[in-house]
Amino acid sequence: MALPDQTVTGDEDDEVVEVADESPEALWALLASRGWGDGLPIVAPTTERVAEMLRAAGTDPDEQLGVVPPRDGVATWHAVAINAVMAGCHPAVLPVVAAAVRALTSPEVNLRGVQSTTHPVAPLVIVHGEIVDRADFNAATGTFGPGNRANATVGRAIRLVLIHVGGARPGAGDASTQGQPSKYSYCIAERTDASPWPAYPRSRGVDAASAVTVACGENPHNFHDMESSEPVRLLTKAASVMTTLGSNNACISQGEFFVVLCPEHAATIAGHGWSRRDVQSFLYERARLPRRVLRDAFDTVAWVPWLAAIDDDAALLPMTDDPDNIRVLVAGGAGKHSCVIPSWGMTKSVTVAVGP
Amino acid sequence: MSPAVRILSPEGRVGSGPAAPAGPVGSLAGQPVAVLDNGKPNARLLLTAIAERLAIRTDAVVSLVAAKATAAEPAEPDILQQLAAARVVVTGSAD
Repeated sequence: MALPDQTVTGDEDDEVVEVADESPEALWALLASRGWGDGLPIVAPTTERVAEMLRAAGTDPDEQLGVVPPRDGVATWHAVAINAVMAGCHPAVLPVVAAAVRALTSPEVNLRGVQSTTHPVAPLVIVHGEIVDRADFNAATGTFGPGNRANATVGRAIRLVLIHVGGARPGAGDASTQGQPSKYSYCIAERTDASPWPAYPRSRGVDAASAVTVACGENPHNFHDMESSEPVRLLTKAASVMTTLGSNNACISQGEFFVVLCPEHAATIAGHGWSRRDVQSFLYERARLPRRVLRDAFDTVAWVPWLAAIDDDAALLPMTDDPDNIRVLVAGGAGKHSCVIPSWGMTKSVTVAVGP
Repeated sequence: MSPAVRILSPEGRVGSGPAAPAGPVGSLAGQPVAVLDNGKPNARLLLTAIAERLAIRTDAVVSLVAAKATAAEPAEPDILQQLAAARVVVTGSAD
């Protein structure tokens, strides 16, 4: 219901709210009256700004990118552009936001579960390829933030789409018990210039000039290693992070882990001749817990049949059922900090090309 | 007085209309009542107890206790088909 100083026109597809001005006070009042926003100030999505955003993308505003549960709102370019303006996006990044929405609404993501679970899961958006430099994403020092407009606003735009189009408001649509900071914004860029391995999308069969990966998981879990000059001791620390009993990966065997290596760690590993696949295989073997420890921790597990069939309590079970579920890429700047991002569990990451 | 600022709603339209609420069930005497366990710990215990209390009060019959394969995904089509035979299904959301 509109407040007295608002005038509502248009139909459901193109509802327009008229407010007296776009002062912070007026916009706060609008957000409060509609239940809109993420709690931070917004840029007013005026008809002019949204038109400019769409004009830059050169696409059909009515083209549907996906349907966003649990509200089952239709994410058209137009609806996504409105949220991108609110988030403070530059028009150059709209194709990235749109690609991320397309990826998120792929069935394998299980977005309905991601949106409505009590788990704190948030979609991480990873930007790859030539658009990283063209649209001024930060793949280097501080890629997870803060300080870069493209990273910050693309991640925020995705959250606003999930809230507004998808209806995932905390307590109504989004049941996350505690939430997590990455629900505000969660976007990085791959550091291909400092990666010893082929660009991540190529490892997923996506050969495009620019691409986006979405992966639904926890906040990053840091691991540091200032001393190791070979892969085993370094990656054993990553494996240690992966073997926490608190993540969903401990009781759901299909879950992925994203291992985001800093350039210096990646160079150390690759300097010993290790490929991306070698890193995956090593972590699959090293990130293990005794069956007894896992079964003591959980009454219920969702394991593939071959894992469930192992009855030796001393057997060391992997934290995921396939080395391919351990996804490896490079991002960040100077220093020796990398991270592991455990999955929500019942979800798979998706990589798609960025295009108009 | 400055002209009004025209702001677009960020919600967009809903793809499919919300399902209409089911009508009144009427008397449950002799009618089948089912339970859909959502896969969360203790859900089966709680939901079955509610269904049994309901059956005692209304002379209904608890005819089926089914479970989703996982809490994180919707119930499978064959489960939904089985549940369709019941007059009332007792289930729950969240933990």
